[in-house]
Amino acid sequence: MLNRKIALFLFLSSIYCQTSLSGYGYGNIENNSDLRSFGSSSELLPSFKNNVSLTNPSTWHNLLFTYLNTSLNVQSAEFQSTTQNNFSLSSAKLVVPWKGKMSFGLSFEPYLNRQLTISDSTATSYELDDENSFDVRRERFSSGGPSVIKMSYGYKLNDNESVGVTLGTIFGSSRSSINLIIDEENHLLQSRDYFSGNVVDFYISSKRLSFKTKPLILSANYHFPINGINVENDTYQAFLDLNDNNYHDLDDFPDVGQALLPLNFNFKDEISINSLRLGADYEFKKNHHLQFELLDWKDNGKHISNNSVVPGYIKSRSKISFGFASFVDQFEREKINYKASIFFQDYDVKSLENINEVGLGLGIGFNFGITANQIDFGYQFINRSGIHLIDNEKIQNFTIGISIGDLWFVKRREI
Amino acid sequence: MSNKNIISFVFILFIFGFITSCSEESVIYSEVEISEDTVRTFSLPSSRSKVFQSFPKVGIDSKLYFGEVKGNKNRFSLLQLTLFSGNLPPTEMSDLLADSIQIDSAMVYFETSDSLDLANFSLHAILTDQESIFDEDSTNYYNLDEYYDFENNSLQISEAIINSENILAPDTTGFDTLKFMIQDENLETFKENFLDTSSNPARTLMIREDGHFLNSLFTLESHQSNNSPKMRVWYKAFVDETTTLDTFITFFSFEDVSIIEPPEIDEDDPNFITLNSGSGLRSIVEYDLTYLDSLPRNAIVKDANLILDFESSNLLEDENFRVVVAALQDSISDWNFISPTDEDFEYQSYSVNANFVVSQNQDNFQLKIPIEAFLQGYKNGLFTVDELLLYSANTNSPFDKVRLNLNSIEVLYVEP
Repeated sequence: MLNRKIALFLFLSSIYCQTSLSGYGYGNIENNSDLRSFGSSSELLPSFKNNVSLTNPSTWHNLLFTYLNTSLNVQSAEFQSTTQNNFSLSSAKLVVPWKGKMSFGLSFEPYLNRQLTISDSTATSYELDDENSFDVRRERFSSGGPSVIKMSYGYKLNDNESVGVTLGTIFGSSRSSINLIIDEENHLLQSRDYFSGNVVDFYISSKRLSFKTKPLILSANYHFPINGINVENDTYQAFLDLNDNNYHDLDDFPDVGQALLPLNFNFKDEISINSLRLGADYEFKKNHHLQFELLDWKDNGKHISNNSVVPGYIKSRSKISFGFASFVDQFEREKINYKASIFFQDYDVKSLENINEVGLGLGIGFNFGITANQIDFGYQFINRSGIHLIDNEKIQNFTIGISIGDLWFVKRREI
Repeated sequence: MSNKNIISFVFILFIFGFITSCSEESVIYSEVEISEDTVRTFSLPSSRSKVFQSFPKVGIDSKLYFGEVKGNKNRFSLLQLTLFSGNLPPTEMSDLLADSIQIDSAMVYFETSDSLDLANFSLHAILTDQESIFDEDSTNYYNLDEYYDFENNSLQISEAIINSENILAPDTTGFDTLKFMIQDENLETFKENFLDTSSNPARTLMIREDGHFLNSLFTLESHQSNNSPKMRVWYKAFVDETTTLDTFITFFSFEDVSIIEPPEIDEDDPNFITLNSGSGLRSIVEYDLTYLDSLPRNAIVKDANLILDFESSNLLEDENFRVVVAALQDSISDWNFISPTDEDFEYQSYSVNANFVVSQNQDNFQLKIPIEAFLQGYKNGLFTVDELLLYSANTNSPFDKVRLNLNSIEVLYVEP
C-alpha cells in the first residue's frame, strides 16, 4: 500500500505553479516547499516535531516512527492588479529512523520551476501597403523544470552531535516557446532543456551548548554540486502553427517533414549552486523554540544558454529568518503544534535589478493516531519588490501537509 | 475523525489539485522588451527567364481541333487505334491480312457536335517503325528520337469532302458523323501501310483539313469523349469451300492529340513570358535566391507572391485563365533551348519537383501566385533549384494565350 502511494505522489508532484521568479534564468528555485505547510522558513531547525526537521537528516534519528510526508499548495500571486491562482502539489518524502541511532530518507522534489507565460498587452500594427496590414503580439511560455531525487542518511555521533548527508540526482526537462502572434496566427519557436547533475548536502547538528540551562541547538548545512548541472538544449525550427495545437506536425508550415533538424547544444556547468546555512534553535521553555537561520546562496554556473524568459538570472541570494515553534510531546493529550516565522531575503540578479523579499509564515499542525500522524496547515505571505517589468508581487500560499507514520525496523513488543 | 477518513480526505484533495493545477493563465505584462524587429521584408529580383515549347499533351482534351482560333493554327490531329478489335474473340489488326480474309472496305468515322458546310479533310496513315509515337511516360505525342515530319512520312488513304451536298449538321442527338471511306484503289495502300502492323506498328492516323476552308474552329470528338472515333472494317472470311462469312469488326481509338502550329518565340525581351497550352508554350523564370541563405534559421516566410501582370492576351472579357507554377527538379543546363523542332539544340525535358506545384486563377488581368512554401523549402534545403516552371493549366482552353510581365518578388518574413 505504501509503495502505491509513493508512486502516485511521484507522478502528481511534477506539476508546478506560476510565479514571476520562474522567468529568471532556469526558473524559480523550489526549495523544500513542504516547509510552507509548517509555517516555517528554516530548513535546518525543528519544524515538524520537537527536535525534528524533515529537511535536516541530522535530526531524523529523533523520530520514533517512519513517516511519509507530502503536501499540496494553493498559491495566489498578485501583481499589477492581476491575480493568478494556482493549485499544485509539492514534494513527497519518506523518512525512516532506525533505533534512534541513524535514519534514511528518500524524497522526490521539484528543483526548478519554469512555469510562466508572459505576453504583450498591446499589439504592434504593421502595414504592408495601403490595403494590407496586420497586428503582431508576442508571447513567451515556459513550463516544467528539473526535479531532484534525494537519498539521505542521518547518523547520531553521540548524545550531542549528529550528522547527515544527502545525495541528490537532478533530472527532467523544461519546455520554452516564443510565439509571434500575427493576426491570430501562431508562429512558434520551441526549445527544450534537459537537465542532469548531482548535488550533495552535508548537515551537522549539535546541542552541546546551552543558554541559561536551556538547550541551544546549532545546525549547519553546506550544499554543493558534483561537477555542476549540465543542460542539453534542443532548439527546433520555428513554424507557423496552422492547426493551433502547439505541436509541429504535418499540417503546419513548414510541415514537420520539411523542417530543419533541431539544433542541439550541450552546456556544461550551467547551474552550480553552493550554499551555506547556519541555524540556531533555543528551547526557551519545554517544547517552545525560538529559531534563527542564515542562508548564503550562490550560483556560480556559467549560464551561457540564452533561454531565459527575462534577461537575467539569480546570481546569489541571502536570507535571514526568525521563527517560533511550539510542539507537543508525542503521547500528550494536547495535540496541536504552532509555528510562526518571518524572513527577509535579497536576490542579486545578474544584469537586472535586485529583488527584495519579505515573508511571513504561520502554521498549525494536528497530531492524531498512535504513530503521531500529523496534518499541517500553513499560510505564507511574501511581498517581493524589484521584479523585472512588474516591480511588486504579492504571493500568498496556503499549504496542507500530511505525514503518515508507521513503525518500521522495531519489533512489536518494543512499543 | 479516524485515520482512514483523514487519509481519504487528503487523497481527494490531491486528486482535486491534480485536475485544477492543469489550468494556467497567462501573466499579462505591460510590455515585453523587443530586442529587434521580428518582421522584415526584402525583394527578390528576377535574374533570367525564357519561353520554350514543349510537346502538346496527349489525351487531356475531349476534342480534336481544326481550323484557326485566337491566332492558333491547328495543323492536324493524330489518332492511334487499338491493336485488337472490340469483337469477341478479339481479332488483331494484322489478322485481316490473312489469305482467308477478303476486305471489302473500311471506314474511319468521327462524331462532331459542330456544323460545317465546306471543308476538305484527308486521312493519312503514319509511316513509322516505332511501336508508338505517343510517349506513355510523359504523355506527349513525340516518342521518336528525332523530330518526325509526319506530313512527309504518311500516305493518304481517304478523304472526306464537305460541301453543300454533304454538310455536317448535328441531329437531335447533338452529333453528326464525319466518315472516311477506304475502298477501291486506297484499299491496298490501307492494307500495306496501316493494317500490316509488322511494318507499321504505331497504328496511327493523321487527319488534316487540306482545303484551307475552315475560317473558324471545328472540332471532332476525341477518344476521351463518349462518342470517340472508331474504325470499322467489312470483310469476307472464307471458313471452308462452301462457307463464307460476311461480317465486320470495329477498332477503337486509343490515343490522340491535336497539333497546333508552334508560334514564333520572341527571345528579345526577357521581361515577358508567354503561356499557351495548345502550342506547348511554357516559361521558366529564375530568381536570385541567394539572399535566402542569409536569413536567420528561424525565419518563417510569411508572405511571398509571384506577381505576373498581363501584358497582352487573347482572353475574352469573361474568360478565366489559370497558371500552374512548379519547382524544377533539376537546374536548367541550356537556357538557349526553346523548341524540340530546333535542330541546333538537344531536346530538353524539365522534370517537376512534386513538392511544390501550385496554381492560381487570374484576377483582373493579374496573377498573384503564393510561393511561400517554395521559398521556405529553398531556405530549408528542400529545393536546390532556383527556377520555376510556369504553364497554362489543363482547365484552360488550349488556345488561350497570355503574355505576362515579370515583377520582383516581395517577401515578408517573420522571426519569433
